[in-house]
Amino acid sequence: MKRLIYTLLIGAAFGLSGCSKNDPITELGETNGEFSANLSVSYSNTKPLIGDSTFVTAQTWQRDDKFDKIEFYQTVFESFGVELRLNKGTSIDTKDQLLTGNSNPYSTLILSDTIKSKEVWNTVLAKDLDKYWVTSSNNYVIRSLYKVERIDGKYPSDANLINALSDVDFGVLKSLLAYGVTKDDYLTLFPSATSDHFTTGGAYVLSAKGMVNLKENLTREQLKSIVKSLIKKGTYNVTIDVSAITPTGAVTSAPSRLLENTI
Amino acid sequence: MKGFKLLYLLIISIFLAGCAKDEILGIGQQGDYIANFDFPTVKVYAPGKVGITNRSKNANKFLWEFSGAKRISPQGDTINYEPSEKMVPDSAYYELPGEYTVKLTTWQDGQQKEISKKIVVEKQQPVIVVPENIGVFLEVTFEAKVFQYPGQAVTYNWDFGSGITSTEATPKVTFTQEGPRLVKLTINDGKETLTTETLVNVQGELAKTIYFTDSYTRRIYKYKLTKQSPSQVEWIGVSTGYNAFGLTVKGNKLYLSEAGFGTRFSSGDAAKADGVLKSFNLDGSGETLITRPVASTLDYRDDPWMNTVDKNGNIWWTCRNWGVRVLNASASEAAYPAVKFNINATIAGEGVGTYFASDIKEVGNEIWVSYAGTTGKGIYKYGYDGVYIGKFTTAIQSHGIRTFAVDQVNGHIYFATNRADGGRTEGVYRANLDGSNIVAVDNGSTMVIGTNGYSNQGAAGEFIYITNMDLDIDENGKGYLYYGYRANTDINGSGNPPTLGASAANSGVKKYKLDGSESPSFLFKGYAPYGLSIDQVKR
Repeated sequence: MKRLIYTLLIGAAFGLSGCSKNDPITELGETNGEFSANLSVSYSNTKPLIGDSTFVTAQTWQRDDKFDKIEFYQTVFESFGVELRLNKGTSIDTKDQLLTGNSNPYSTLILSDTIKSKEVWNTVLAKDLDKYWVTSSNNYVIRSLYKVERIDGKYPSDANLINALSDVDFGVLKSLLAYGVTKDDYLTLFPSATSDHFTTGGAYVLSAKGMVNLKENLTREQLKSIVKSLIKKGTYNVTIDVSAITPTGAVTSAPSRLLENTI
Repeated sequence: MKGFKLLYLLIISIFLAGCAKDEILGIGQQGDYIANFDFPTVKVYAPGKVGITNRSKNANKFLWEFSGAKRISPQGDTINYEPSEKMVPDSAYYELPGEYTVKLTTWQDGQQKEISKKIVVEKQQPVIVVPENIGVFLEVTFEAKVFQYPGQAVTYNWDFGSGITSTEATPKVTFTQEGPRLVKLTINDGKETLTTETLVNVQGELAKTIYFTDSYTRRIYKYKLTKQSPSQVEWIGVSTGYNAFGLTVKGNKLYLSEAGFGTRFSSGDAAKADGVLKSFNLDGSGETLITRPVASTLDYRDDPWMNTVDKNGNIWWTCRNWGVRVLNASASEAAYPAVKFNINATIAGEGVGTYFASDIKEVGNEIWVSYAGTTGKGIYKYGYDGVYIGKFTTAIQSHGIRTFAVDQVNGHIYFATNRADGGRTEGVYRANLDGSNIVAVDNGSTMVIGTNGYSNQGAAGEFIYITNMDLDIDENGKGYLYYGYRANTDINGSGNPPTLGASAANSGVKKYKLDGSESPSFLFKGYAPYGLSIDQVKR
C-alpha cells in the first residue's frame, strides 16, 4: 500500500514538474517591461522623378502603446561624370564612354557628393500620435508627402563646378582636355602657342609639348572663360528612412528606400 | 481504502491544476481610451460622399449618428442614414450644400464617451470642362460641372469671344483663329448666379511643313502646308552662307549643305573649299557643324552640294566633282571624310575628266545619285556599303538631272533637268520608276534657263537650276510636288556670288498636283529657293 502511495506521489511530482516546463512566456526569459515598436513603411510612388512627390506611409504600433516619436529622414547624394563643351568644338564626356569594339562603358572622372547627410524631414511626437490612430487597422498610420527636389551640393551644375573640383580631379580633367581639345579652343587658351604645340596628323591635336603646356598652365578661370556648357551626367539619389522610437530609446527602423534618378 | 481514494483524487487534482499553467492569457488593451474620428482633409462638395476615419482607441462598442446624411445602399439606392454600430461607418452621402453634424458614442466596459464634429459641404462652383485638343476649324464640345438643386433648372450663358455665345449646357464650338482664348460661363442655379472662366489654347492646324533655303536673303524659312487656315513664310532664325543648295528634314532635325562661295570652274577665293554641312533643330536652334572641307588640302570641288539622311542615321552628300561622301549625321566637327563612291568611265559608259554628282536620295535600301554634267548623266544606284548596284537604261539616263524625287505610291520619278537633251528643254519632268515614259510636268518658257526664264546662275553645261524638290503625298497617292523657282530677273549670272535683282518678287516655291489635274502654280512668291525639304510629320 505504502509502495503504491509513494509511486503515485513520484508520478505526481513528475507530472507537476513536466507541466511547469510548458510555460512558454517564462521560457522567453525575464521581461524588463520595455518593448520596441513594430513599423512598416510603404510608398505611393517608388520611382518618383525629380520634382515628383511620393506619399511615405508609416504604420506602427507598440505593445504598451508607448512612443517617443516617429521620425522620417532623408539622405541626398549624387554621383556623376561631367559633359563639358567648349566654345570652339571641344567635347569631353567623363562618364560611360565606349571604346570601339568594346560594349563595356568606362568612365574617366566620376565625382560623388553627399548633398545632405541623414537629416530629419518630418517628426510626429507622441503627444500628436492619436491624430493618426486608425481604429480599423489598430495602429497608427502616418502619411507624409515627400517631394524629390534637385539640390546642388558642393558641385554647381554649371561652369562654376570647375572651381569646386579638387586639385586631383582638376588634374584629371586637364589630362582629358590634353587629348580632346580642338586646335581652336587651345589657341583661345594659349593664343601665342607655336606650331610645335600641335601635331600634323593622327589621333590627337596637341603634340607632347602642347599637352604638357596645357596640363601645367591651364587655370580654372581660363577654362571657365571658354566653357559653352557643362552638365552633370550620372545619378541623383535620395534615401528615405523611417524610425519609431520609444521613451526608453528603443529604435525600430524600416528598411531604407533608395529613390534614384538619372541626371 | 477510503483514505487511499482521497489521496488519489487529491493527486489527480493537483496534477490537473499544475497543467493549467499551459494556458496563455491574451495581452490586454494598452493606452488611453479615446473617442475620435476624422473627416477628409479636402473640401467636400454637394452632392458628394464623405468617408469617415474612426480614430477611437480601446473602445468596445460604437454608435454613429448622422444628421441630414443619406447612404448609398449596396443596391445603389439612396436611403436615409440610420444610426450605425459599425466600427467603420459607411460613407455619408450629402445631397445639398450645408453644415452637418456627425456624432460618435463609444463604450469601454462601464465607460462611455461622445464626440460630435461638424462638416461643411460646399456647393460645387461651376467648372468648365475643357475639351481635349482644341484645334482651329475643329468642332469641339464644351460642358460644365454645375451643382443643380433637385427639381431646379440651371441656365447657361457661354461667351467664347469673337461674338461666339451659347445658352446650351453643352455647346459645340468651332474656333477659326489659333491662340489663347478666354471662355466665360455664367450660370443660374435657381438660387444664385455664378460665373467662371478659363483660358483655352486653340492649336493651329496640324500640317506638314516645307523648309527651304533662300538664295536672296541667305536664310532658312518654313511654310506650313495648312489646308483650312492661311499660312505664311516664317524665318526660323538661321542664316546660311552662299549657295545653300541642299536641305533635308529627317526626324526632328534639319540638315543643311552649303557649297560656299564658288560653284563653277573658279580661281582665287572662289576656288577655296568653304562649304559646310550643318544640322539644326526644326525651330532653328541647336546648330551643329557636322563637318567641313579643309581649305588647305581641298578645294571648291569638294564642297557639299545636296544631301540626304538615311534610315541608319548617316548623312550622304554630293560634291561638285568627286562623287559622294558619308558620315554619321550626329557627328560634330568631324574630319572631312574621303569620297565613298563615284561613277567612272566603266559605270557611266563614257569617259570624261569630271562627273558632276548632283542630287542624292535614299530609295528603299539603295542610295540613288543623279549626275548633271555633259556626260555621266541620269541616276545611279549604290548600296549602303558604297558598292555600285546599277543604273537606268531608259530615257531618263539621257538627261542631266539636277534634282529628283521618287513617288513610290504612284510609281513615278520626278526630276529637273538643267540641260536641254533628248529633245526636251530644261524643266521638270516625270518618268516611270524604271526611268521610261517621260512626260513634261513644268517645261514652259519660264522654266527654260535665260532671259524671262529660269535663273542662269552657274555656267553652260552646269547651270545650278532647281537644286531640291520634295513630295507631299498621302497613302492614296494624292498630293503635290514642290520645287523652288528662281527667276532670272531675281538672281543670275556666272559670277561668284551671283547677281541679285531688285527683289525676289518673281521667284518662289511652285507646286504641281500629282494627278495632273492642275497646272503648276506658285505656292508663294518673294523668295528664291535653293534647298527644299518637307517635314512629313504633321505638327
